[in-house]
Amino acid sequence: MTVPAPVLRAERVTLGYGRTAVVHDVSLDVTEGGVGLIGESGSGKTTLARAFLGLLAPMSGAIWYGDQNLKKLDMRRFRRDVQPVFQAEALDPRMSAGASVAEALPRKERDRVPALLEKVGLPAEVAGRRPHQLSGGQRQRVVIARALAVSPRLLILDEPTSALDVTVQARILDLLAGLGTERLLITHNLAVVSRLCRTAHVLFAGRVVESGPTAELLARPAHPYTLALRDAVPKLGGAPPPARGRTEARPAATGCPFRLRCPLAVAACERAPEPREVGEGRRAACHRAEELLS
Amino acid sequence: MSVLSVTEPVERPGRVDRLAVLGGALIVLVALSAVLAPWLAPYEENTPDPLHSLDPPSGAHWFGTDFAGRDVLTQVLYGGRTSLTVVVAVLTVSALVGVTLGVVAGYAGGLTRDVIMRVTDVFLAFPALLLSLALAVVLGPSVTTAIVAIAATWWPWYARLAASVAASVATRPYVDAARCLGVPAPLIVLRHVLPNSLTPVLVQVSLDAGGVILTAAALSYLGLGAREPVAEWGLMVQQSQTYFTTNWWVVTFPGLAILVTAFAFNLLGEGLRAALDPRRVIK
Repeated sequence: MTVPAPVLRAERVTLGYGRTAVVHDVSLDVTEGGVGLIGESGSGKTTLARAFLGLLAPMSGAIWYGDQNLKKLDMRRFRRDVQPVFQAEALDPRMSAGASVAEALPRKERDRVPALLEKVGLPAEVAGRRPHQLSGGQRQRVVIARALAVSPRLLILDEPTSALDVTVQARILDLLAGLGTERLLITHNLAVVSRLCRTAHVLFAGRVVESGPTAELLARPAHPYTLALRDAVPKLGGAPPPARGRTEARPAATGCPFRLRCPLAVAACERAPEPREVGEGRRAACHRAEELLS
Repeated sequence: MSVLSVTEPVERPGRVDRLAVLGGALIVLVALSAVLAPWLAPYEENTPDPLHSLDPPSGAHWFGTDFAGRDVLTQVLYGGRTSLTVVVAVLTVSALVGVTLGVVAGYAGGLTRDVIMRVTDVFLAFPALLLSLALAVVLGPSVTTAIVAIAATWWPWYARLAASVAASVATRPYVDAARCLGVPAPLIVLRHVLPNSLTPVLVQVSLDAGGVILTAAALSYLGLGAREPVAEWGLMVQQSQTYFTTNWWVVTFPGLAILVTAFAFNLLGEGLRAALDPRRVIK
């Protein structure tokens, strides 16, 4: 079986603001079937997404779109192919919904706006309303309609449902699942990743600590951080999940960055673990990955 | 225009505030009284009458007379011409220069921001009066000199304000979304950054009207701005302040003119702020 080429690829990418790096030496592929980036706030998910969108140049390493380095790419083509879907607040408060969508279209194609709004389940009247006159779900649909206006190949979805209530979330997820575009999903919501992504990468302190097929990764985590994330999801009717390890501890500056929070930390964790194969299609950066999987 | 226009908003930002209307009406009133001064003033401009020096308000002189016997009401009406010209010219030039440079600095960031903000710092660090003295030597003391001198030291404040607001707006997701759509940078600035950065600057501009009048007065006092025989409110206050304790009217009426004008601009600014708020509830 041939493995399809990745749509986007990060190759040993280090990213940051000013001279401070927040994403360290990350390599990952955005492949078909949906890719999820999971991690807590400050783990570097959005920074990585900005780099994939060509909004942030890597401090080192490279981002590849197909076989072309993003640095040397014709950005006009790339802009048509890769579009972001940010949170529902990504609309200019001074612009009507219609104007926001129309901004993505050439002047002669602006009559497509009602059709685009309809495609995301909004009536044409919404075009005349400003963001504050729309519900959170409607705003998110407008953001999606704007991204779809250029018929992108890949959507980079940055917490697309985190500001929405659960019923609206479900409808937006249905919409995203039925779009037929490739997607890179950035979220801290494991349920959303398992719904939309075939593959998932777990980020902690700007490093990929685990990667693999989403279903397997969540069923049998190979990294204590993934395990902690999974077990932190509240169950309906159950007791609140207990916090594992010292959840308030900052990432360690040396060795495994998770070791100060890790309930399984051992002396070996003072040495930084390299990401390695821990099963078919699975990688983890943990000295005790095999023990966790067994 | 259809709902599909990017440049024209479909719906007006909001109804104009009643206080803004009052402020606007007061400014129009002051401006009209200045323009129509030759017809409204009871006496000729700048006509000394030593026999009636420092007369209190009366039927013949509603606002009294000053130390030279000039009718204060006449001088206040004519003085509005100079003062309003100075206010409008200084604020327009300062806001245009300051906002343009500030928004470019805030959006571009990096070296562009550093260069613009350091130039701004130099202007801020330069003493306004020293700059005015230098300009007065070069251009000669006049109202124009006062306008140039005040504007040269006023715009950096707007540049700083606009730069900080624009830098914040430039990080909003809708600006990133526009970049990802390939919208050219100048268009992003005009369409998203400038409109969303203007409100605090407009409010500041309107609050500064009184300050400009008083600064112009200080320059006139030093002989660098308006000079006799030009009537100007600040100059009137400065010339008459020694008589204030014994002849209250000579300072009170030009002072009131400054107060009413500054108040009117403040009302207009507050109303503008409210009217330009896109989240404003439209009743």
